[in-house]
Amino acid sequence: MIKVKLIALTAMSFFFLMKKLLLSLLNDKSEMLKIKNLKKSFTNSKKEKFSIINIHEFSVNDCDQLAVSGESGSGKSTFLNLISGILRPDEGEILFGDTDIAKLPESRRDLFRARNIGYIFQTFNLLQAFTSLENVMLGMMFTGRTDKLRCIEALDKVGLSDRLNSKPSELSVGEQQRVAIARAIVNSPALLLADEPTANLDKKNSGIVIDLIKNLCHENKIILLLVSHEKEVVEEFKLQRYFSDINKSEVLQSN
Amino acid sequence: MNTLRIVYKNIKQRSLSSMLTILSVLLGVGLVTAILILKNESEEAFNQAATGYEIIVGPKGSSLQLTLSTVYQIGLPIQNMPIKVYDLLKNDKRVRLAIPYVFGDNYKNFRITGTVSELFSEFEYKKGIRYKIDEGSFFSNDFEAVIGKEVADKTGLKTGDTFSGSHGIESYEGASEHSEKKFKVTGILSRTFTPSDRIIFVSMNSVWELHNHENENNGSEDHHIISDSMKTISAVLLKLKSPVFFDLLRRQINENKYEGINAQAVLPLFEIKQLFDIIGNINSVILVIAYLVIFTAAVSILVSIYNSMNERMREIAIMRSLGARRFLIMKIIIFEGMFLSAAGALLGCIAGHAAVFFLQEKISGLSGIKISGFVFSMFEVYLITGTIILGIIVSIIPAVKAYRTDVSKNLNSGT
Ligand SMILES: Nc1ncnc2c1ncn2[C@@H]1O[C@H](COP(=O)(O)OP(=O)(O)O)[C@@H](O)[C@H]1O
Ligand SMILES: [Mg+2]
Repeated sequence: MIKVKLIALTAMSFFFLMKKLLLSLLNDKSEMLKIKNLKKSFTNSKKEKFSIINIHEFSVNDCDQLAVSGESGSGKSTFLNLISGILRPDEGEILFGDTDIAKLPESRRDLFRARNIGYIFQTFNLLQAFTSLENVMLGMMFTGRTDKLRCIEALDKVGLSDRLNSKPSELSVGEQQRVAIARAIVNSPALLLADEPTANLDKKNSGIVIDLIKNLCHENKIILLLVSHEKEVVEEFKLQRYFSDINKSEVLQSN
Repeated sequence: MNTLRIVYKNIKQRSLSSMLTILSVLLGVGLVTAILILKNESEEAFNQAATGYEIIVGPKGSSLQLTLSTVYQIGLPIQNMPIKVYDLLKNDKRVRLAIPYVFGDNYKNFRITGTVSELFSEFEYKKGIRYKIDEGSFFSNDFEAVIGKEVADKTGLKTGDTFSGSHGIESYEGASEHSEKKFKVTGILSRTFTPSDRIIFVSMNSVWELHNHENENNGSEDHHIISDSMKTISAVLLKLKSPVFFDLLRRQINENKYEGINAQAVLPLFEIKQLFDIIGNINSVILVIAYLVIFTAAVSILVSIYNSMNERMREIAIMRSLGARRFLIMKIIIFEGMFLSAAGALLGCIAGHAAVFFLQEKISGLSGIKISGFVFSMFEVYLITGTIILGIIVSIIPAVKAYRTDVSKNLNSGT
């Protein structure tokens, strides 16, 4: 009697698994990041509230590399900070698969960010007191893991295996940015956020950095969401969007 | 990579400010430690040195002066008194042992003290311990000397050597020597770790004779005849047969009801206690100042960390963007305060001991008291713990600032 039950159970679970696998094969562009009715407002120095983000719907698929262009002051950085869980929205959902990080308490958001999101900023990504390797290891520290070899590997991938023990002050801005890339991918995150990563670089270095980001995200199956106010940077990507098409907030966009 | 390593890196990054902060804590803790060691050890040592003397009988005057000059050779002795006092006390039924002291001249600042041979045969400078001879023998004739260990070490005198004393209790520039009368060293005492290590013991006659000679240096030939009026002593050390005689004998002497002699009897241990009560008061004032120094140092930890916060906002924001929790950031700052105060406290404690250790020569030179500087007390554990706790408390303020860092603002400020 028990035997029959067991066989039935096994068969059923097998069937379910196959179904899930089939579905995922058919629909391999599953929506990894999905945003609904996202709203965020700030208060300015005169204590007046102003809306900065108002996004009805936004989503990125697995393995996508999306570049978003927008004027400065339009709220791009705020948008990325909301996605990474650094800021909490006033309203709305930010879904990673089934997880709505807008609903998570802060400490859970922090851990989620450590494990699943890589972040690259315009400049000064690195801690000045730490070497390249230590900066990358710092990126791993808050996930609760340590794997020095992996960090060295990551630096190797950005072509800095010979600068492991250099402090940021001993590196060029381009090299510093590459360390930041290594740090952002070392945890194999699901999503990489890049906030104007080339704004402080010359043309040559800018090209190197963009190529690095694109290739590494592709190789490691990391979704890339890049924002920039520079047209040339955004034009490097197949998937492009205007931030003004995404964000419908009525805030006066400067410039 | 772990939290402590981040703390260490942060401190190293601002090494000058960190070092100054540690130094200020070190000063405060070092000061407190040194004062406490000095007080505890010297009180102990002072008491030790006085335990052999139950009662000191000496000329009327300051009881503290009598004690200090007799037991520790500190300060000048009071005027001398007639030998009759010693004779009377020696024959008193209640007295077990009476030792006279007569302070004469000095040799290289070590006092030449006339006494009797019972000092070596019967006197116990500590319970059950008599003076022992390291080399040579006790003196048996006039102008023979037994010297303390410290005297031997400092002057290089050996048995068989001769020396002549200088006028006065302490030598001074241009002091003349009694060149005609030389002392011969017959023995060196074993170290006692009491002020006796700094005494040159001779017979009383030798001291009297020198003075006699001194007073008649107009060429008279009767050098060896000493009149009774010349036979004076500086103090008599007493051991009684029973403590029950203590009070009566003391009262008799102090109230001039003892065979008509004019003297005072003091209890050295009591005098020392009184002295340390006074020193204790001064000590408390210095201690309060020292604690204030520690407090100021703690504030300097606060200032040092707080000042660095503005430059660190960006780095804190970066760490948060990497997934560091607010609480961890706070912990890092508090650990910094803790590390700075702990380093300062531990080094300060060591510095305090070291200071006393290096000062011990000077101290023993002044008082004949031996202080090691190596005696650790429970109080130091409290002092260190207290300082560390203080360091933690003051770093809570910048830690709260760090906790509250607006991540998005500080990330965007770079862009
Ligand atoms: N924490 C904040 N508090 C108040 N105002 C903010 C805050 N963060 C951003 N802002 C404001 O929101 C606007 C959009 O900023 P940001 O997202 O950095 O735009 P972008 O990255 O597109 O240049 C700016 O006007 C900025 O002053
Ligand atoms: Mg921006």
